[in-house]
Amino acid sequence: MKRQFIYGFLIAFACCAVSCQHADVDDDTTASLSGNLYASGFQIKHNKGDILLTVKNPWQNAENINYEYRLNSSGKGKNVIEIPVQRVACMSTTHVSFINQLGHADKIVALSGTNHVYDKKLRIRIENQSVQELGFSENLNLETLIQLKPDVLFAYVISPAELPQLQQLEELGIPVIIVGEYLEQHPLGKMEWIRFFSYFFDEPERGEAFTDKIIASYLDVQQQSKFYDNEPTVMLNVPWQGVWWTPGSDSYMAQFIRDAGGKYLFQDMKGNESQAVDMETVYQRAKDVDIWLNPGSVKTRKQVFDSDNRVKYFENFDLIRIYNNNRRVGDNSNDFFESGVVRPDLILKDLSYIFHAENSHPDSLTYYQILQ
Amino acid sequence: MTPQNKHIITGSLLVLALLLLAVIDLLTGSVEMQFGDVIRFFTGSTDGAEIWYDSFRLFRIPRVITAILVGAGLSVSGLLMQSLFRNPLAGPYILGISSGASLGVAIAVLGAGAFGVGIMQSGMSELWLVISAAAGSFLIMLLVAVIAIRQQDIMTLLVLGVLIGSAVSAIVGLLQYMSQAGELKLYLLWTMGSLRSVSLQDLNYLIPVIGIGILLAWLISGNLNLLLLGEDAARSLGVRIQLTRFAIFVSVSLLAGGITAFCGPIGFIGIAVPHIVRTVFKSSDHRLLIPWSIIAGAGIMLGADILSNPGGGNIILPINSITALIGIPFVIWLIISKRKSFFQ
Amino acid sequence: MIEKYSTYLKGQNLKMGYQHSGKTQIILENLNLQANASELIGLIGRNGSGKSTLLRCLMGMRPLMQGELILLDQPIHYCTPKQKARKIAYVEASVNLPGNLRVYEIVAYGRYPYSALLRKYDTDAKTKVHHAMEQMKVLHLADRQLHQISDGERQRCMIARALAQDTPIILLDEPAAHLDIANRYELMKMLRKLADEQEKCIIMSSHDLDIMLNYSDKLWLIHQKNIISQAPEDMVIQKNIELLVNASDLNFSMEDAKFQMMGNPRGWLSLKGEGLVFQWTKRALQRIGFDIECNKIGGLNVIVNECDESTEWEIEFPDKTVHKAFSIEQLIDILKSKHYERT
Repeated sequence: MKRQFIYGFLIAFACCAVSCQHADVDDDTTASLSGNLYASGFQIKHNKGDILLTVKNPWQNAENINYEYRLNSSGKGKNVIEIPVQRVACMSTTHVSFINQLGHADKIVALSGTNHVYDKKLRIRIENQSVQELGFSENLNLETLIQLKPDVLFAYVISPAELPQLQQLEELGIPVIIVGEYLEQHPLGKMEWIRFFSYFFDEPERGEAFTDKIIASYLDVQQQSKFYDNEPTVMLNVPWQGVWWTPGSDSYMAQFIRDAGGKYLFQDMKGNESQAVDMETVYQRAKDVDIWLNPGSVKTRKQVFDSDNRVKYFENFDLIRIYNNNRRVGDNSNDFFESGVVRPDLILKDLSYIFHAENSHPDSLTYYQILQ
Repeated sequence: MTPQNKHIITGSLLVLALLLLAVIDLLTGSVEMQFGDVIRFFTGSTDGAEIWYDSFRLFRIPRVITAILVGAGLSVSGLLMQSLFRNPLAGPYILGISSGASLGVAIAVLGAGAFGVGIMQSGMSELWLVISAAAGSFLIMLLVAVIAIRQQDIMTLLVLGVLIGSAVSAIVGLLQYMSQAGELKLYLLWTMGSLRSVSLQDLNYLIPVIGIGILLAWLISGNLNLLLLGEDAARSLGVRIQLTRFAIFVSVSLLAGGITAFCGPIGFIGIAVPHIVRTVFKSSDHRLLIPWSIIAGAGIMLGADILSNPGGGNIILPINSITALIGIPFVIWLIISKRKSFFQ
Repeated sequence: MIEKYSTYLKGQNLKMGYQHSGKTQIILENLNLQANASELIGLIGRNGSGKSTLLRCLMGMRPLMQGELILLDQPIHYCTPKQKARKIAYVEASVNLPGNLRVYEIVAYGRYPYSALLRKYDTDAKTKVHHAMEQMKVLHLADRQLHQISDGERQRCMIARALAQDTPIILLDEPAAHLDIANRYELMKMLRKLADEQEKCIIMSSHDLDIMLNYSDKLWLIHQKNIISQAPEDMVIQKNIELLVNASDLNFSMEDAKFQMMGNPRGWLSLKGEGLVFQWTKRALQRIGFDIECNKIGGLNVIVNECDESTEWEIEFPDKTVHKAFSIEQLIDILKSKHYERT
């Protein structure tokens, strides 16, 4: 009996020793990775009570650029951000929608583009000065920021030229979190950034739960769309100066169209960004088009014609149904770009209705409306 | 060979070259077309159902006609400005026409940021874009004209035009600053110029405007010749200087203003083509320079249009970049090889 | 055929000047002028006295503040620009012109006042242009471009243009400014010919007093905002010519037909001799500051001895030493080397 006890103790001791050694040698093996399902722009790691958020390549053409943020509820340690944060500033209304969805919109103290916010509650807070205007990109209102002393600033960067200003803020004691959600190509990838945000409010479970729910909802709609026989051909945008700028087949909208069971007119055009297409080409292909989406900021069919007076010559023009994503708009805001970011499932549902359920009630659409 | 015959032969050759370029441009585009198809279109022996028929009618013909009008109009207005100011660097926009148009368009497209309401909000129709540009040029030209009437010295006008241009750029910069990315891109695209924005319907307006502008220039070509001798000499020969200036003003407003309203500011052609024509034809006689400028300008513009859509593929390059890239080296070469012939 | 007019140019009580933002500057006033056929009039005056202004007003390019100007029996304000251009031609002081203009074109522009809107030039334009170029001896340059010909040739083209304009009156503003001696005299010869043979009335401004004195029928001298109009010789005799300069240190020598500095600080010497060499020796000695007396005796004497082949100068100093010189330069060297300081 005594021998077994000693052997057991020795083995336990040996295991401890081994695992402790491993802990010293390589952090990664003990740090556990919270995997992303769709987003490729960030990574979450846990390490010894800290949360390590990594943002990868947060601007176009960036390579091997990583930003690491260390979060901790005690706030102890070098460059650690104490969570949950109480006061945040945002450089984009999409950031706002993530935070809003998590129920922490009341913590926003400053924002770039306050007149572009759709959410009614937030608008009230903006009107009574609880949320200040921050200014844009290279011309942020630094004084406002310093005065408000937010716990973090959520920023986005389009080109490295904007970095010096952000570095200045870091030096002044305001942690800057660079967010790269706008680069995500998949709608679900964009939405998944809510998990990233949720860590700042120390509510990772909420983020996970939401993500799972939305993913499930989205996939559900996608599945259902497959049951329909028709695959309508869909065209996007309007001509400008005789040229049709339309996104590539890897883009956000193209992905939506595919997932909703439609066929994007320029499925053969690779790439993420918008490209200039000759109107002739569009005209040729227009005869196949069933549905036209996002024709600029217009509200009637006539306004669509007015964008270029050759549009009315498109074959089957009268038969093409036109829908625009400006159902939920304010003076200078459009909810499609705000809450739409966190509810891609609703967007997909809209599109699915538009594509397949011909008798869909206009009221059952969330972001889209038919143009008469 | 008498100079007369020489002119006739050169002229005919140039017109042939122009026709050739026009045909090539007509055949450039994403839809397949053969030369035979072009013939059949114009002889009326088509049934209108061919694949290329609509594209040709709706997109190519207007584009080619626009290229010719733009090339001719900008060249003639550039020539007028160079002769009026006796300055080789003058161009059609020197009095502030394109600045005015930019201002008008900037307010229409970017205005939302600054004024809370822009035309973009209610749906930017092509008509409003043209009107904004035209209104903007008109206002600036009016301003310049009011000051011009009180000025004897033409150089003051030159400086004024440049200053107004700068002031307008500053205002536009401010509007850009207050705008969103989407609108900014639309404005930027406008500044790059486009020959494709003009439809057959639009041509109903553009053709008379350019036509009248060029006709006016032609009518005063004799006076323009005399202006080259200096205003005093011209006056001593019986030229009515104020009237001539007014006619030049109106002509350039119609030409440069009309083109900018429909196609956006297209640069470089107005400055370069008169130089090319002067150097190649070794003449300062406007009765010759005007027709040569029309042909050369139209030809170069057609060439630029062909190059902007390489191989008729899906890529479309902005016309302003093409006109700058093909033109600048060419003029540098011309000037270097024929040093003395311009102003002493 | 040259038409007859009673007066070619007549101005009464003219007043001309500039008006700038409320301030008025009067250049000439109370002016009464008359110019007739076959007259070559020289307009002289100090810099800024208003020569160009006068010419431009006579031309009709600048408005008159007061007074009446009649050109060929028609008041100027009744004339249309083209009518004016058929009466009076103007050749301006040199100006920058595009280098690639051809000579033929420039002269042909002179026919513009006779052209209608679409019919470019009148039928006998070619002959007139040809004739004008012939007269000014630029016919052989017809096809050349401006940058290929010389200054003198260019000036002649401008005048040819005025000739092609076929006007009874021609105004020229400092036409000889950039011309060399030969061209200057050529120019005057031609202008004289135009006045004499074609009965033209020519008014030209110039700083070249010598030429003006020799070739003009009348001089118009601008002085104190008015014009003194006299024959050149009268102007010299009545000393009006000295109004061109500050009277204090220059006077006009009637013998030598030129201005000279007053006071000759080197002192005086007596000069004997005859003829042209004597005259030129006198000029040289005056230049270096000697006062020349021909009748005083004693002191410094210089004698000019002219022979068939050469000339020698004999210098007799007050101390009775005698030197000989064989050129003016040598003469001057000798005089200077004797340390005759300027007092």
